[in-house]
Amino acid sequence: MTDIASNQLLQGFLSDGQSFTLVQTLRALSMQGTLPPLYELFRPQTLILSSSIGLKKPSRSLFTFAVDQLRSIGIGAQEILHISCRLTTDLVPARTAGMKTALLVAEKSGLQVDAAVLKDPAKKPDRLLTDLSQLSPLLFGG
Amino acid sequence: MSLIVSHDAFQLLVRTLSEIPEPDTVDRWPVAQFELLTEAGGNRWNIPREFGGDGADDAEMLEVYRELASGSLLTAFILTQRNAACQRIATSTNEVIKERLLPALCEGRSFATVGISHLTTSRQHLNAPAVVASADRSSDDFSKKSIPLMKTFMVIWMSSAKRSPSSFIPAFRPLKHELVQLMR
Repeated sequence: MTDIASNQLLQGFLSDGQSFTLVQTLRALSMQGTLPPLYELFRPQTLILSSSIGLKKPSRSLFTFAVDQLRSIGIGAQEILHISCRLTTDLVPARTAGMKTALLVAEKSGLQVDAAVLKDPAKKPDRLLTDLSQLSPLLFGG
Repeated sequence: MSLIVSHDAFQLLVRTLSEIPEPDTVDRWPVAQFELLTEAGGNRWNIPREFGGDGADDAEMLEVYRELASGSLLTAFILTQRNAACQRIATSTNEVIKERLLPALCEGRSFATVGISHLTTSRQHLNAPAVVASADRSSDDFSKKSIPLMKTFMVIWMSSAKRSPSSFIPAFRPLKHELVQLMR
């Protein structure tokens, strides 16, 4: 997250959750290391929670909402990389909405992958990540 | 840059909260914590400016919660639920609700919370939604000039319910499938 911010890229959350979800998440992340001030990481438009907008995954409308919201700050759908360990309920609707997608298979916990979907050219993710450290070369070409 | 967390009053609040023992039972309200929060202006932070608040956006509030949680996780949690209710009121199309409740919330004269599991999405698309609004004696219609009340409802859990005269739970109007803000 720090690398992404220092490279002038925006990042955000598109998540099912309520208002305390992000606080819990960021608190857990803070225990793993020092996070920069959040205004350096996020903009209000990049924080999208189901509880705020009344839609939850895998609603296509949720992902369309996200695309529209990011377009409002100058980010096109094809410039969005959506990362998740859930294929059918997360990456497929993200791809349908026009986003680039990456399947994270770093750990079994939370991993939801349907082999048939994984082989479907119209639905499979653009990238496969086995570790989040693989994001830097993917995003920055390093 | 987050303005709230850079204030001396906020930094003092976080330090003080970290030194106060938190209630360790579910039925004890963190009185001291919320008195300190009120003194530091915490009731105003996410209320729109036109209703007397500071109008902090979601990103700023996230920074506030993160910092606040370092002093008192309990206080930060309860505040997120209260502010979620405030946000629902502020974005409501019901002007009566906004004008009646937001100033009082801003000044700390009232408290609000949300019902978890029915914040927005749970089972709303089923034939029988989990929470259904029905008019009662004090609100005989669903116009935007009235505040619908719930007769009966079920939510999985709700924090601060005993402290909150206003609990906002999206529910379905009979026949017309749309969400309304309800006050318990």
